[in-house]
Amino acid sequence: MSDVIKAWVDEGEVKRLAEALLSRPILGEVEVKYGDNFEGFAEGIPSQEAAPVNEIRAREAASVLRKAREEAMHGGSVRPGQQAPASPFRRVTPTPAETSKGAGITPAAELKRPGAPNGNEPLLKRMQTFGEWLKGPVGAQSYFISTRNGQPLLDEVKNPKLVQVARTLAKASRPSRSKTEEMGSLHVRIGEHSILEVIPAPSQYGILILGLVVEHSLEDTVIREIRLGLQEVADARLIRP
Amino acid sequence: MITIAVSSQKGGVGKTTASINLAHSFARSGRKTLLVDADPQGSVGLSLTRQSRVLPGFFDLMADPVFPLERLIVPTRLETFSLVACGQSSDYELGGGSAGVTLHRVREFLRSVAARGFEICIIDTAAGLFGATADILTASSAVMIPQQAEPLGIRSVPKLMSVLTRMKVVNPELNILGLLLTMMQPGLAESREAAQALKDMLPSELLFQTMVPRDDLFIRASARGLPVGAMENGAGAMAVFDRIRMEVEGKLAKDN
Ligand SMILES: Nc1ncnc2c1ncn2[C@@H]1O[C@H](COP(=O)(O)OP(=O)(O)OP(=O)(O)O)[C@@H](O)[C@H]1O
Ligand SMILES: [Mg+2]
Repeated sequence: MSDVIKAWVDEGEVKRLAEALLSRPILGEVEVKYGDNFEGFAEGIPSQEAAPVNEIRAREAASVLRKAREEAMHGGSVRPGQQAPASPFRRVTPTPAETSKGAGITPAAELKRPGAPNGNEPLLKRMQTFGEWLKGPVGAQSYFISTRNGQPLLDEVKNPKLVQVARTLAKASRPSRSKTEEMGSLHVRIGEHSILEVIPAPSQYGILILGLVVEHSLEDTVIREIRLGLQEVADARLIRP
Repeated sequence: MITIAVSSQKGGVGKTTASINLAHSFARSGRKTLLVDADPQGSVGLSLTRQSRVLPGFFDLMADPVFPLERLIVPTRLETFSLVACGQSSDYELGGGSAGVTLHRVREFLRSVAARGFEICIIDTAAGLFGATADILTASSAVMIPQQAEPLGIRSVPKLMSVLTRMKVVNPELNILGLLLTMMQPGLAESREAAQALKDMLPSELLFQTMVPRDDLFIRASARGLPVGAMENGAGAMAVFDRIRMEVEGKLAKDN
């Protein structure tokens, strides 16, 4: 390949994207068959309160996370004792500056993530607190957080298809060294008034995937705050008195 | 019915040329073929017909779903070949629009076209993979992406891949026929390099083997709104699109 072209595109990245595009799992494994009548999945997305974190859920989540961490270490994306790597995801297509007018929603420019929690609280509880911020100032209708394999840790959306969609999108936007070319943005319209924003965040458990159902796509600065916030929630340290 | 959208992010890469000539090739092979102009800026050849006035078309139907389809389908001199013009798109927001509504109408349109016995529907779309074109891709069975054989054009390929991945999420049935290299100039090093770069990067399934050579005949044909096959000395260029059509048939067969 000529040097000029090489300077413009990352050959490896294109190969990966192309293979992801051709790989059957986008269809088969994920079982997203929207079929002829797909017009978005706005209906059937309940935005109910998350179930209280009970002990059993927490234990389940802990084992899912332990496995996720092992896999991530195995795959080389997390090394023992290592701090979470810098985000491998680049935000992509700039989204039009849409300002939400809903009550209680903070304008994008002023939105700051909540302070980093300490690790004394259980992870799921921390995630839930974070979720309240997502639904408050950020203005999300609902959200879920899953491991990179699509195993939900917290799921308010209660639509397994969407979790799989998020996973597919997250996979399709893998890290890249190339700085020259923007990749597609990580959101997809799922209904007339809803968009699924997919925000993958690196953490000690490997990549966590946050799916947000929002009315308008979010601005880059907001996405960044959310990603950092989720990272802090996942990587919070125990603080001993 | 197989619906093939001909789309690209960039303009002027040969979408309209590919649409007209591919549709013509399908029609000549005996398949009942409909060519739809869904590019408000473009002009799919209307001189294939005997009518010259501004025709109602695709976007009239998007704006008004009860618009009778019969009034849109324009026959040509070739019995198996019909056209739908672009029509008025004034009140259709290209960039936005409420996704659900348009998608629904595109589907309804394709359903009624299929009900009229068309086997192949080729849709020439506007440059860019958003708005109406995204809805068309969501409703189509396959997409072909013309790509000009020049180094600069290659820059958009990573973005194209991720946009296509998104399309595939909402339309898992979408058959990505691949990139079609157009305006290829074998005598020009840059043109060859661009072609080689794509060969190096893309799995072979994502690149048409046949390339469309740069040929003034295409310019003359498109100025008259004709497929090259209808031009004097057009046999060679027409044969190129026959090969492309056969590749498409192979890809479609493999998918089923
Ligand atoms: N193979 C070719 N050889 C020479 N000229 C070509 C070839 N293909 C297309 N052209 C010319 O290049 C110009 C752009 O082609 P065309 O209209 O098919 O592109 P397009 O992608 O449909 O453009 P737009 O995005 O504006 O709709 C036209 O003038 C056309 O005649
Ligand atoms: Mg055109």
